[in-house]
Amino acid sequence: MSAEALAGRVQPVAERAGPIISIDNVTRRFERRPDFAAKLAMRLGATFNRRVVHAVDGVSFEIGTREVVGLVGESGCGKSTLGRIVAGIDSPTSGRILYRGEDVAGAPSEAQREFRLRVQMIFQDPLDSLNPRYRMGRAVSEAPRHHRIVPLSELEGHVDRILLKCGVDPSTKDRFPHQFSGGQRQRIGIARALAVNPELVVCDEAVASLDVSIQAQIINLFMDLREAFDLGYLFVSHDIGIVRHISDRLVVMYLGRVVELGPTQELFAKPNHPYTQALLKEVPTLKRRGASFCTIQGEIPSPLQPPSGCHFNPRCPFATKRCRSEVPELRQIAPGRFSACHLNDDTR
Amino acid sequence: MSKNLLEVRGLETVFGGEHGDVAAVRDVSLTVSRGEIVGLVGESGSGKSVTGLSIMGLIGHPGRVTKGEIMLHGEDLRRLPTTALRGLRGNRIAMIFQDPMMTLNPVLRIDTQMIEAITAHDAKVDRTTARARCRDALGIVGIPSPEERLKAYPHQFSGGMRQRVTIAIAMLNSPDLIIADEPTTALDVTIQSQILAEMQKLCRERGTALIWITHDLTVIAALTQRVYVMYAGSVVEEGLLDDVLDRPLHPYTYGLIRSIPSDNAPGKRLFQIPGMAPPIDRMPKGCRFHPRCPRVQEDCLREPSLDASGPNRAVRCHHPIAEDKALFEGERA
Repeated sequence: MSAEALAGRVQPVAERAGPIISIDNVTRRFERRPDFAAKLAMRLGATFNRRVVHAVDGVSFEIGTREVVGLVGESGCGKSTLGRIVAGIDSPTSGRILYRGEDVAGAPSEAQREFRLRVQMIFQDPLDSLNPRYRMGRAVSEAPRHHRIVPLSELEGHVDRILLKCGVDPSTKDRFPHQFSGGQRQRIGIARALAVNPELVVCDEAVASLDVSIQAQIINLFMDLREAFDLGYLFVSHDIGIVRHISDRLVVMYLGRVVELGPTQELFAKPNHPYTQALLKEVPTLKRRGASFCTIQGEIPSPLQPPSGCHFNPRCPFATKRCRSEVPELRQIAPGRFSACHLNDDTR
Repeated sequence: MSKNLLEVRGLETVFGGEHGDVAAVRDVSLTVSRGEIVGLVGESGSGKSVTGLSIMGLIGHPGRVTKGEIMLHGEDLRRLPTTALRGLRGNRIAMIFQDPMMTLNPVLRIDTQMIEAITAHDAKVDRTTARARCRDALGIVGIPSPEERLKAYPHQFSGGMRQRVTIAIAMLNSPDLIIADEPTTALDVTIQSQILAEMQKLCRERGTALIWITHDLTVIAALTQRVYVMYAGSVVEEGLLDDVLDRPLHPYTYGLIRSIPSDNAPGKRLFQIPGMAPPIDRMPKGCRFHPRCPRVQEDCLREPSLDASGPNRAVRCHHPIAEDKALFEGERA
């Protein structure tokens, strides 16, 4: 297919309706495979502990056009794994990822290719994700050249335009990644993701390693680029202050499951799930001076042996007998708001 | 003797390089009194960690402390012989690092490491007593079943628990001063707030003084009573917590506070300080913040001094923001 034909086929994003990505009951398990010694032991009648980790366990939600969805949770809750699945870097053990309503896994290669271009990812440490031997210009222009995003004659201009939008001086294209500062490298990582005209960018802790003053610059850049390129974001972060600032909707995960989901401001104003309530209370802000913290007791349990029933029950101050045996479903509690807690049934 | 437990005056620490010495910390003065929690805030390269290490006497080659006094209980630590300083470290002053594995030996059990921290400073303590003290210390920092956990190796703890162990080790000999360098930066908010709560309790109950080094102003707000803001190797502003956060004098402090997402303007553009901090070997002339400063004028090429504008209040700026300008007035939670 010629570049012109492909460029013509790609419609302007704003004209398309519906969610960009639907995550439908996605589960990702990591399993320790028996090694040689274990296989031998099993032959001899020993039992082998498979040690399965449910990193992501039956998660469903949608990301709309130009929408920013924040994904928060403690380390080990599966938020990064889910981010990688959405970006197409990892695939789910079961469940489906729908791009514009079509199942990505079963789609013809042409559609899969479009999905892979339309959903891009930005990583925490740009020094790890940029090839140290590629000059910056090559790192950014390689994908659009390979995929013929623009005709070859316009490639240079296309890359320069994206770099300028991301606040990188195009005259530095000959430099190597290590010659840039942390903030500049993150801008290059963003430019590289944007060079193939994505609709959705998955940002995994994209500002976590930056200094405060640089962090503000990059967050502003994210918001400007959303306007300029009609972008949606899946913003994976442990920094709740930043997620609150940038997201339209918030997904709260705990041990692989979504515990609460809803519009960010409503969720912050009135968190429903006891975990969300506790989590939001822990967030330090400039206005909370000399705060004495009312802490969630204990730590996130090991995902190898998650508690039965509601995963949060050992740390939950309101846990009942039912919470220890029955898994709560994620149910609508108000228009657009969902929570997975048995307590919502009792109040009705 | 002054009431200050620690008094640092005019500290300068330089690192030797290919092109001669560069100063990582210049003219830093700070005081801490008993039971006080003091925040040292700055971005990477501002010299906050080097300040902490200099106080501890832990600056190694190619760095060295070239100027200043570090007075603990009225005694200059810089003049102490190495053996005397070693007797103080881990005993009267202790340090907690961001990565607990910098403190813990991965191949030794926790009890071995903790008991050593006691007997190294007091050979008369017998093992049973030392062990009991270790167990109590683990209990205080919130480690469940401390008796069994004493027998564990560092890798058998989670990151948050490991950091608790290093805090317990720092507390073992009831030091007068603890210097904590970003100890909660790598932890989840829930674990962070548990540890902040423990530290507050320990300082309140034991009268331990604490210097908390961090880049995170929100942690400073939650924990400390007094703040020093560092930029490019120097203290640019100091004051009581509320004064600094509500009425910052230095344009850098102002920018730093405003660039943190707050709850009142979601989705709005954040205030941003243009540019980035200068590299240590290419410091700008005069005020080191002037290339990024919105209030810059001609005389900013002349180096400003840290001038006191009241008790517990000082700023290093020719054109400080007027004192009456409140930032968060009426917004306090």
